[in-house]
Amino acid sequence: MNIRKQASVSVAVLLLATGTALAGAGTADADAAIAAAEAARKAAAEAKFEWNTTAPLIEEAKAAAAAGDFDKAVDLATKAKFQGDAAVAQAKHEAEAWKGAVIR
Amino acid sequence: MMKRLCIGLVCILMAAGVVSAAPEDDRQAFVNYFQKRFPNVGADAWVNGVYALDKASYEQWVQIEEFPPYELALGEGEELFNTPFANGKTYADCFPNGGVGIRQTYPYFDTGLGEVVTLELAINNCRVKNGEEPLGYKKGKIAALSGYMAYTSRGKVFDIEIPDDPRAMAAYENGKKFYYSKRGQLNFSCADCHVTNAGMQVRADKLSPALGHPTHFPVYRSKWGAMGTLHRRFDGCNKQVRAKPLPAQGDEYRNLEYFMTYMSNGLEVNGPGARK
Repeated sequence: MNIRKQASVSVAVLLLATGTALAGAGTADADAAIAAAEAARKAAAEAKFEWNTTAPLIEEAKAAAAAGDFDKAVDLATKAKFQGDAAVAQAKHEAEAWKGAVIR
Repeated sequence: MMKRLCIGLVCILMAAGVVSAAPEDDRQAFVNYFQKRFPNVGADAWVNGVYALDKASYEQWVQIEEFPPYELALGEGEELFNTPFANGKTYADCFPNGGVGIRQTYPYFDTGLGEVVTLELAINNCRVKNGEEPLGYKKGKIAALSGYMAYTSRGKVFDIEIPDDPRAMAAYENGKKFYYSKRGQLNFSCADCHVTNAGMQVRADKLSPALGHPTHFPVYRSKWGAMGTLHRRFDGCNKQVRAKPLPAQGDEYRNLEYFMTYMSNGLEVNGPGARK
């Protein structure tokens, strides 16, 4: 591939990427983010360590997606997924860490 | 050879001793911690909860107790307790000593069922056994009934036993684990508030000490404007640290109650109580 062709391909890729970014998140992005958040929440619930702030965030994300605000939906679902993951990490940590807090 | 055998035997006996003595060691350490931390609180005063730590609040509470807000619930509980089920039986038929003066033995580990039985669970088991619908576990009639039963037990000393059964020990350990495990978005354990920070302020409120917590339940809580069970309070505590509460009378909360009440062995029943 010569220099000119390489440059053309790079510009095309850049334009595509920019175009996607400018278009923002779509239904599929929101659905995927919400599904990932729900899976993380479910894992936390199974560990009996779910936070009570996670499900409301997922509900807000669903409402935002239903209203067509997919960027907001992805943002909220990402936060919810973080919380679900953090709660699972908390459960794993506390499985042993609690012993250090016992009064002796 | 004989010497080795003896040492081995001693080790086994010591290990067995450590296992069976652990809950009592836990309780003694628990009591010592609070007595050392709050040397001015009398050994019997822990049943008063946060009022054992704050004189001004104590005086207000004593005045509240002159016309206790749980009085109506006591009347309702007594009436419910004595009203026969459709089959003619009553609650008295389900409990030792006719259900009078028995609060201090709850929760207990039922070796037949293989699980912890709280007073509220026993009340509902009694209802179901006699063809009645179970009651909700957090407030209303169940709290009135267990409040009345606690009232008939006032002055009795808590005597929670952990039978020689590995399932009972597991239930105790699970309750202990729950008590000391941090949870929720705020990453707080029960012990963080009621052991480490007991007596400290959370905004305008003083945190109550863990020792004696279950003795005065169920309680009339001004915040609720009604009676509530210990599991209702667990629900609220979990929400306050932004954890999703677990089901009232589920395994986790019953085991938690088992551990907490064992820690308060030797203290008197003074439920139902009145709290802010």
